[in-house]
Amino acid sequence: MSHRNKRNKAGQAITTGVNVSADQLEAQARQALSQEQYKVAVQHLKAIVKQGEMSARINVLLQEAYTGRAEQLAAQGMIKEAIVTWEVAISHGLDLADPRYLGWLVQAGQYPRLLAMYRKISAENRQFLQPILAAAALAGVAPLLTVSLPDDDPVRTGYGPARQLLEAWCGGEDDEQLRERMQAIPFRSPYRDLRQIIQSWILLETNPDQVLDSLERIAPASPFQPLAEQVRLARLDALEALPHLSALLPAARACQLEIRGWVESGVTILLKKLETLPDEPPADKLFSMLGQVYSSQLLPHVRGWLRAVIKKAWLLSYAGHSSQRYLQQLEKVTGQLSQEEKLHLAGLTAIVTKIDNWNLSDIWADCHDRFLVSVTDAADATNKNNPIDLADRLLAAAEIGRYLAARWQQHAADMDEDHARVTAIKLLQQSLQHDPEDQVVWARVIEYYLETKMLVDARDTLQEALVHHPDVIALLELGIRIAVAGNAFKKAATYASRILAVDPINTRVRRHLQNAHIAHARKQIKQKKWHLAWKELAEAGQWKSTPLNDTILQVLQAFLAHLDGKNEDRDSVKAIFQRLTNEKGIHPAGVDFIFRHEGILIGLPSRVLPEVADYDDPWKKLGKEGVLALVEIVRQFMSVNPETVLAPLASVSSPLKKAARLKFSASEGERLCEFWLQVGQKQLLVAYATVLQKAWPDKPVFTYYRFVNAEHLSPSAYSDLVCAREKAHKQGGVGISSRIEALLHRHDNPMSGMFDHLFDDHDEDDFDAEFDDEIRADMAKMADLLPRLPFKEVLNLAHSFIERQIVSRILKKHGEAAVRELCQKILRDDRNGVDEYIDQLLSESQPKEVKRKPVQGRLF
Amino acid sequence: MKDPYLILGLLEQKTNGTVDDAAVKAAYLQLLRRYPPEREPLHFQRIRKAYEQLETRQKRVRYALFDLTLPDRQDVASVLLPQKPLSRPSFKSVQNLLGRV
Repeated sequence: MSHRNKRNKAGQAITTGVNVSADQLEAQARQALSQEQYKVAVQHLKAIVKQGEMSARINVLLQEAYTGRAEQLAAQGMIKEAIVTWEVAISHGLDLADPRYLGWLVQAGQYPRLLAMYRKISAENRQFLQPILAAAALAGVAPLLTVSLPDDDPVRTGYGPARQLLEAWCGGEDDEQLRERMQAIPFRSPYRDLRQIIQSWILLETNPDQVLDSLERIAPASPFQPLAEQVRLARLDALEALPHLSALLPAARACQLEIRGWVESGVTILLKKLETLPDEPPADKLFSMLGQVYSSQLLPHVRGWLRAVIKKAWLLSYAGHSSQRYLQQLEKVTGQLSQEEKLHLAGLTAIVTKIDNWNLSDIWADCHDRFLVSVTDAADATNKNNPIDLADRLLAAAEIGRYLAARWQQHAADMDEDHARVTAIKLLQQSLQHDPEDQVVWARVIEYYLETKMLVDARDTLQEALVHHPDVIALLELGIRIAVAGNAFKKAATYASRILAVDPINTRVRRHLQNAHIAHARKQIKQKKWHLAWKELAEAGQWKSTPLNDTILQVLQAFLAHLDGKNEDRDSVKAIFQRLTNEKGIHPAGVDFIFRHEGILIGLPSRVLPEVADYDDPWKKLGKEGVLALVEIVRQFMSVNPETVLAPLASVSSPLKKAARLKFSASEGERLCEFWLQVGQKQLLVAYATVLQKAWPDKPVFTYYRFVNAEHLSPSAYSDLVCAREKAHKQGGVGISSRIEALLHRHDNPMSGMFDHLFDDHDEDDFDAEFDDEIRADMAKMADLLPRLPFKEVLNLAHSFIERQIVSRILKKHGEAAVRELCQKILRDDRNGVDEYIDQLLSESQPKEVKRKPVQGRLF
Repeated sequence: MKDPYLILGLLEQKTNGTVDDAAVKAAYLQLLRRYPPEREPLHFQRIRKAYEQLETRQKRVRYALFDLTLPDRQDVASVLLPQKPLSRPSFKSVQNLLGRV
């Protein structure tokens, strides 16, 4: 029996033996075709033909198999093989005119074959082949091509005008003449795509947005597409074109480079470098690549840019090891660096290496000084390589000051905060000497002086700032604040008027102005200048502003009338009280607070107030509403001046403290505690937080308020806070949890180290003597708290006393309860119990003897 | 592209020392017309950022003193590749192209 078994590349057995029926072979061929195994399909089909089973159906399958195989070969670059294979398909009846086949013929330069075929095919198919022949004719690859065609063939008749057009375009003929030449190429000409491309090029020069639309008219399979693609690429800018260049065939790439004028050998090398450069090149790679380019002939702006980038890249590559050797490496590329460049690089190195602020400031100070010196040192300052232009030196010095100030402020929390702030302000002031135009910096310096109550400095700085910025509202507003802080209310009113002159509808300043008049009136009353006080109050009354100010005005007028003896003309203090409580609905405690506030500010002796007020004491039966109303009023006063509320608050602290026992809701309690904290009422805060902590045990926030102002934390307080933090964490209260965390961070753990002395090497008698009652009491408290402590804290406690290895073994064998029990015994000072308990646990869990810290054996 | 001078097309002016607030603003507005935010949001973001980096003299000095951003490949290419007007290809180049259909 003769049969052949072959194995194709995919390892599939090909059975073409005579014992296989034609139907089976056909099925196998179809399967191979569906899997794009054209070679296998051909073999199956050939076997069918050998069996004499040829049919139209088999012919079609053969065409499919050969064309598929031809395409595979062409894809592998085997064009000639593809042509031969395709022609087998043609011998099986395939149509001659297929663009793929024709394209390969052109590609392989087989024009005689193409011409021969052109003569054979129908007129309709000729039209399809004509543009291919036209392109080939223009390409000059077949000089006899046009001659071999009949005289009236469109490829031959159109060749002359098309070639002239192409030569004219390439030769740079003007657009008008080109248009005339284009008219010689009719719409149906096989050269029409060339005309369209040249038309698109003209658009590229005149109306680039329309280029793509114009090129869209050329069929994708047109043999003129490579030229159309050149126009498409030409409309991209250099950066957009770059990725496309590497994908082009050599002829297309050369043409595009020619269009862009990148014909020098240097550009070719550069393009290669750029093509291999990553989109985000690392510093060392940039340094290396740009360093090579820097030595070539460059335009001044390119050289300047490269130098700056090379320095940055060098810095980011080698900042960690900026030794002389590395500097030499840089100078090898850039040539000698100027003194200013070196100082600037040193400053940047200090930033990159994150050195501390003191050293950073010193290093930048050198650079700063250099800029100032070089303003007058023209020889060095005009060095074009310097990082800063001559005209910008002073500004650069100022910028360095601002940068360093920002650094000091950023890191203030990590160091002596006051020192950091003072340093920052000094730097900012220096910067203003070099650049007085920065209004924001002026304002920051003045605000700093205001906050630190350095009013003279604030005033002086403001005067200086206003010389440069006389109409800047932010600065004038600061002027009002300074004046009010210094009781210079008239001055405050002057600043307010200046603002209103610039911005007449500035409501904030209107309020400032009214506040200034009110404050001035208080001052006049205090100085018993009744007439002037009436005048100021009248001035203040002209500015309609907040309800609180209206109330204050009424109260002051009532007080002034009483003091000035003009009671007949005005409402009495009592009448005002009643009007405010009855008509305005202000709580009596709130109104009384306003009276106290104003009374203190105008210097009314405390004994006089009850006389003039003559109303029932609202503090005797102070309820929840009274406390909450008072807080709102105090808040309003604080928005004007937080200082003035302290004295009147102190005068009512006793009833407020008693009011802590009132049943406030959790949210009310939280609001009150936060308020007492803001206003600095420590005693009230502790009183309220203690009661609220008991009333709302599941609210960790009250534990925080209770201890937030504590100077030292007792072990039980610390433990309460730890529990509160855990609770807050579990409840998802991120804010309160982090506030407690920060509070704990401020304090040392009172439990850590508490027992350290117990580990000292002394005998038991000494130990007993030293173990004082206080510590014993703390330990007992701790023992009480132990069941509530998170296990993590219990474990830490156990580690303080017992060898870590032993604790781990106990935990592993007996669980958390055993460790808690052990700590209980330690804290209860049950020395025998601890020893026995450990022995018992270890004997159960660990047959081998485990060595314990000798000192622990001596604990009790 | 990252370098604000390149984005705004002000590199040559920078070298000549002719970049001022007005020049920066003019370059910004010109680009804004070319890349309106509603049509080219990404381009606009890049242009806006560059403008904010250079809009005042103080910001330009700050950039020169403290900026350590490295350029990307586009920046490098746009500076190094010669910016020449497009020229028509030679007849020979076109023939080479058409002969490689």
